[in-house]
Amino acid sequence: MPPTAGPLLGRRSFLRWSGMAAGALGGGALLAACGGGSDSGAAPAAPGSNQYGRVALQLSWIKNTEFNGEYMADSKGYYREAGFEGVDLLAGGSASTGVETNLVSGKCWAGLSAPVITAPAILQGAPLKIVGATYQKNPFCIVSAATKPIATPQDMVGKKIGVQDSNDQVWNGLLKANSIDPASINRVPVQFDPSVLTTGEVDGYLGYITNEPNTLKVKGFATQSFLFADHGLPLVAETVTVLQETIDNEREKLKAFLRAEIRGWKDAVADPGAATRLAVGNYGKDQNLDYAEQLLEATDQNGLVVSDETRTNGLFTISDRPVEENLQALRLAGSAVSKEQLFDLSLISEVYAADPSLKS
Amino acid sequence: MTLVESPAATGPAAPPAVGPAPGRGGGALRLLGRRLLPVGASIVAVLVLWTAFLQVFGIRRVIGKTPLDVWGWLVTAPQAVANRGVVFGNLGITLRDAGIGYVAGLVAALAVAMVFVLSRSVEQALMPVATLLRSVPLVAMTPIIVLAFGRTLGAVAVIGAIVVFFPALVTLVYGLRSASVQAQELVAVYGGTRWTRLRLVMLPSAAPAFFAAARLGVPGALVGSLMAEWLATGEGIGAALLKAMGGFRYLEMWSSVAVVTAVSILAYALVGVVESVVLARMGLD
Repeated sequence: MPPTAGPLLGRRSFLRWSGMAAGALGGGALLAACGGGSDSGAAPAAPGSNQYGRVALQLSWIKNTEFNGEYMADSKGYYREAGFEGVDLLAGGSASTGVETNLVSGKCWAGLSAPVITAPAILQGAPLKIVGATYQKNPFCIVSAATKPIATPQDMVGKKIGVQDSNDQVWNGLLKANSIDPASINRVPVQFDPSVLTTGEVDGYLGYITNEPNTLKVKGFATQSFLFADHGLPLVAETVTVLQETIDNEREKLKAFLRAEIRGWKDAVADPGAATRLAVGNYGKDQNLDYAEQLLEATDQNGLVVSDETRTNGLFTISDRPVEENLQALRLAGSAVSKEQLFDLSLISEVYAADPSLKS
Repeated sequence: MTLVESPAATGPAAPPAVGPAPGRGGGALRLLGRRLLPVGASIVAVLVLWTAFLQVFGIRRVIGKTPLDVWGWLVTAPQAVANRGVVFGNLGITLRDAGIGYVAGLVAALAVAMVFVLSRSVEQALMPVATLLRSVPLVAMTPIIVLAFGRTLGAVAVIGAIVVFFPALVTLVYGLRSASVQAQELVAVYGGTRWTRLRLVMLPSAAPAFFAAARLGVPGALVGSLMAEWLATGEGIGAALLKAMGGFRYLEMWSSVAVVTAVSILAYALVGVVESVVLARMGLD
């Protein structure tokens, strides 16, 4: 049963009526800003016209190099040129509220998530769609100490594995896809810091192959990792996820946003150094990121963002074959969804059709 | 609010040993009823607030589940048995964790309160430390506790005890101090030591304060155990709530919250019943 927009409207009118939008309900104010109006059929924005207002983009993790393209798009003014007054990048990850929840509750306008998280939410009735993917291959992995290596999913049995609450579905998918009994593994909660591996607090840590192994390597701690993609889950990741009603009511706005994203990520791929400086010195400043380590990560990341497919079709696209692979992997992970339920890739196609020069 | 009622009743104006206790005989059942009535009221209030919250904030049904949704998921749905298995399995762990923290916190508070009334100088030296424990946010302290105690029941006990300890300590010190001065002097005149005075006069007259602390400790211990499970052990309701949220399993999340809230209300009332019975028998009601 697809939920109606009724309650959402109810909240907005409630806010208007009570006039307390600015005060107690900061999130509500954001929602009002995010909601925007219907713009179907509207002409593309004149540069800098601010016609699309401010929107919030919920990131899947803390502000590190994983969002280099967004930093580029923001700092180089691509979002503004697309007609946005601004895009608020909301840090996420660990125990913070997930992208899917924030989309449905109106706390953000778009989010970066993963199909293995989005598909179960859709099956629960969340009216969501994936409209593009930053990573053509998902970097989810289990990192372990090289001295106590965990090389396959089966090696995890009897071990202590640190899993973030926000990655609950990713973890469940791995276990299901490899027929592992959850009770056979001691899963413990962890936050952002993989140093729990060095202290021996956990034997394995769910991470990104681009991230934690590099973080630990720079600290002189050798690791072993296995990729989820090599064990039944060849999924895309950092997927641009929105509400169905955003596609229905704000199609041009969403396409303008995707265009800015593509431009940002093209720059990030072309110049990982510049993008990483933005991550370390500006957007992720309070994370005390290490430039050398983040640059390693950004360079590795290019291998996930760019593929033979994207060289032909453009960044963020997902062609039919990977779509099928994704659906199959999701079935294996216990979330059988159809292509129509999960993806709407017509917008990204239209963006490239309107401006083929974006591909190069 | 509850703190006011019991210790105040044992103020100097009402010497405990000579309390009139008019409804003592056969009053236990009536007392039980008096304690259980508010439980029904509490549950109704929670249900009303819950429904109103979802309405007023216009939370979408995909996320915001109603009492009826929860009832359906736990009782009438085809998978209700499995669902209950999940929630009550977690609840068992949480009750164990909360019990450990509760007992540890109350015992520690009682021990320290006794030391404090025996020695003013110890109190002056250590009370700031107790206050310090209270003023550091537990979320900030938990990683350090986990580092020291590991992801074990030891950490669960410490985290739960910290939540229960401080309010119990303050209440108990006040309760012990409120003992009748004349009765204490009587013990002193007959050659009793400070320990005898504590044992014969102060401890019995602190019974109402002890039960007030015991009641207040119930929700505290549950909160402490949920926090410990979320950040340290990764099992029980505290961990399941966050996992369910991450996994978009909002029926499980709301059901877990509903069950743990109901248990908290019931446990609070249960301690109240024990309190009524014991105090009635001691003639302190």
